[in-house]
Amino acid sequence: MRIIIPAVEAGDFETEIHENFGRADYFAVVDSENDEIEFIENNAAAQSSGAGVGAAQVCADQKADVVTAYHFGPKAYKALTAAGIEVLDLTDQKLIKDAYHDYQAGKLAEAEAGPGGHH
Amino acid sequence: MKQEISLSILSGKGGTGKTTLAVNLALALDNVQLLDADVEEPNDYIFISPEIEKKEKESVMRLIPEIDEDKCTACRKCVDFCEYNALAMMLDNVLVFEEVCHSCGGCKIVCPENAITEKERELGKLYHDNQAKIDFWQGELNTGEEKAVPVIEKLKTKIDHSRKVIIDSPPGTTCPTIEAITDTDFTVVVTEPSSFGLHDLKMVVEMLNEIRQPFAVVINRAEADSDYLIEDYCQENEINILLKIPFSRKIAELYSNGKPFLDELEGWRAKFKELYREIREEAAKDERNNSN
Repeated sequence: MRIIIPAVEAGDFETEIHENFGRADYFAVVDSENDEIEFIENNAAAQSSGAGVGAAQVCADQKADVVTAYHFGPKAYKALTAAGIEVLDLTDQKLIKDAYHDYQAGKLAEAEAGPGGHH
Repeated sequence: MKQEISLSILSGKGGTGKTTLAVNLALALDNVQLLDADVEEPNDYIFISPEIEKKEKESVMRLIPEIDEDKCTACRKCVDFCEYNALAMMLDNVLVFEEVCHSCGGCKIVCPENAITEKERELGKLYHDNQAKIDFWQGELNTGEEKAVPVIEKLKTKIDHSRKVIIDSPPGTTCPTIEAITDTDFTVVVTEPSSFGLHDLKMVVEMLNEIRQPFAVVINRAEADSDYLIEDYCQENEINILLKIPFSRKIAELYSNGKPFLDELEGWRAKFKELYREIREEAAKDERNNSN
């Protein structure tokens, strides 16, 4: 399974989770087969509109099976689910490893689409 | 026919007094056309035409793409082209996010398979109530829509230069605001004597200078011990303050009951008339400066 978590920088499992999905600077892509982690840039972060959709596109292109974040806007949610990606909510996790461990432990709840970003 | 000036009324943030000024000024004059371009939350109608929903209306439409899945080969050219992420490619299907589409039609042009056609979608509405002294127009963006500019563009096609045109603009400094004030002869910026008011006034002034729009300031909720916040700034930057509307419980009460205050407080009808005379003078001054 390929799990994507928004990240504040390209780092490692100790890196902080980015508070935003669409406007996250980086995504941590974790492969649960071998616990390997890589970071990719979110090229949608700087776009003037539709960052959530753009970020969902990045995740789909990365062949993600699961995406987890604190919050998903309605358009990002719609795009991710259309790609057949499982969308899970984070709660009080701080670091990438916290999110990944809680995912493995089955502690993350299915996300619902919340209100979108500001315009 | 004699050409009147067009005036836009603007503020840096909502809740500053744009509506108060627009409505009271419009009611103080004859042969006025009031256009409410604050299309995300128009509220001039409360004071001018409370039954506006029942009056004349017309739709503002825009075009959005529709994908023929039988023809689409998932080449992704349209998705890569769209600057606004209104299209996404998910499992070889193109998803359209209609709310963020800017209706540029580019996706249709770049599609090599002719799989994209355009369909109309209602973006908003214009309402119209032609009264004895005021020709009132209101633009309204449909709930959930994000693109206010096309509604304002359509509203502006209704401008009648034989009347004193007053446009109540959306607050702020973004595209809808600029669309509303562009082509007006003069802008009045409403502000309030607080740190927030000053901060937002500065943003608006920067934007107005950028687009070379002539303007002056009206202070709403003016109070003797805090007006200096705005007065000092305006003096330093050579900005005229045309009027102060006092911080008054009576005005607030009337407003909350949907009543204009110009005839409830003595002398205010005359003050608004005088304000308009000054605005016209300022606008003419700018005209002369530009032609020199």
